[in-house]
Amino acid sequence: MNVKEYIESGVLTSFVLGELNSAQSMEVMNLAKQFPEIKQEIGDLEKSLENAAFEAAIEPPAFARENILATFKENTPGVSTSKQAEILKISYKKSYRSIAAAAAILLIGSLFANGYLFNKLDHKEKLIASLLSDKGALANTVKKQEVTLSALQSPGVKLVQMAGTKNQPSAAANVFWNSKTGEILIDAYALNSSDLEKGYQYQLWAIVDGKPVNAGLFDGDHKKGKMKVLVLTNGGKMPSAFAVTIEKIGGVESPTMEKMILLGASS
Amino acid sequence: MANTQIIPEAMLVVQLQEKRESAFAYLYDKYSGALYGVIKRNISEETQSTDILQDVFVKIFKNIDNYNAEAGSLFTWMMNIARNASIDFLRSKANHNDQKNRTIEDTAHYLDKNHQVELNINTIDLKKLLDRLPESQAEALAYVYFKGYTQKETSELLDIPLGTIKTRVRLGINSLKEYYKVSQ
Repeated sequence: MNVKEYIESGVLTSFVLGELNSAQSMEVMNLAKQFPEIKQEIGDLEKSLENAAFEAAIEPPAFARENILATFKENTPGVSTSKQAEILKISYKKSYRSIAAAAAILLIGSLFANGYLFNKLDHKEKLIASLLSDKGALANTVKKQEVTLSALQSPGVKLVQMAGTKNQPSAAANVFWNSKTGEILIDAYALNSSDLEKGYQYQLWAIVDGKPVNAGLFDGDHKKGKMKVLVLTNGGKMPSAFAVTIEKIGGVESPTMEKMILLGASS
Repeated sequence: MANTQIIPEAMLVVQLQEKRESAFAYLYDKYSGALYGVIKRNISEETQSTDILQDVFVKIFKNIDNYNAEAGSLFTWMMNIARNASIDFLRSKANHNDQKNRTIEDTAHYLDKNHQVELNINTIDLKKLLDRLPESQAEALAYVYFKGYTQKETSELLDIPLGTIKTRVRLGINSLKEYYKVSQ
């Protein structure tokens, strides 16, 4: 999409002026999430018009403020208390009918209050849910770092950093190779399975004596702090390098070199 | 320049949604002038213009739960309510008067199709603001933003193609952006 053309089409002006229907507005909102330039332009348009409106401001008469704030109090359950207080003053001598009426009013009042409190509760619950999800994300990060740390601290473990090849320069991953157990921990922090075509997986290769040895398959879902443990069965000989290729699910016996996206020498 | 924000907008919205009176009073004190500026320029009679201002604030606090920050700033949302309320009022008044005799004043407000009546008297004090823009942009922006017509209605009223109006409005806002140095 050509963002510049889109901005110059005037659709954002119509959006800010409230002239778009809800489907068109939704589209603009989605694009604003994807393209920072669009979001920026909307903000600029709004701010320019807001500045103009403030410059053109006219102070309303003082009585308007009182009326409007009074209307706010009347329309807001929970703010006004005088009516409920009056109901409590009803004497015992009044007929059952008026007590019933008072009870009904109290009930209605309480229904409004319930609605109000429910909204408030709902709002707080959403806040708690979002805080919990933040907490979960943090816990995952910590857990991942603990795993990395313990891997690094184990004796005989070597870290090999792999960098993206020209096929996928943004790719990156770390390999922790345990020479004693042959275990390989792969932390594919910059790989994403959604980048993969359907039916494909990542395959890790250890280069031993100049030959690629299959070190196992993994998918790219490691962004959320999961790390995959693979086992290399080559008798503990230190590989000179590690590499990752993209292969059909299930893997292949020898790597497709054109599909190599990561390579790192173990120096 | 706009007031510096004392309460961050997102926080103000939460307080408004909780129906806090203090938040509402703050909202009124901060924004009523800017909203009233648009209303008053369309509806000069004070009882009517303050009634509309009241309607606008009632709409704001009744609908604050529906306000969605993704769809624009709080001010844009409120301003669109004020612009719509003003033009709706003028329309219903014009319709009402159609059944009687349309007064000269209303005609100037609502149906200057031949564009012989220049921007009405209440827009004159916008002159300083709009003088910064080329005349055609100032006119388009006055109709679309300060009078609250849609771009399509403006195109019909002024008998200028819709695409031209849209371009003028966009360039007009861009000129304001330059003037206020909004992006920096």
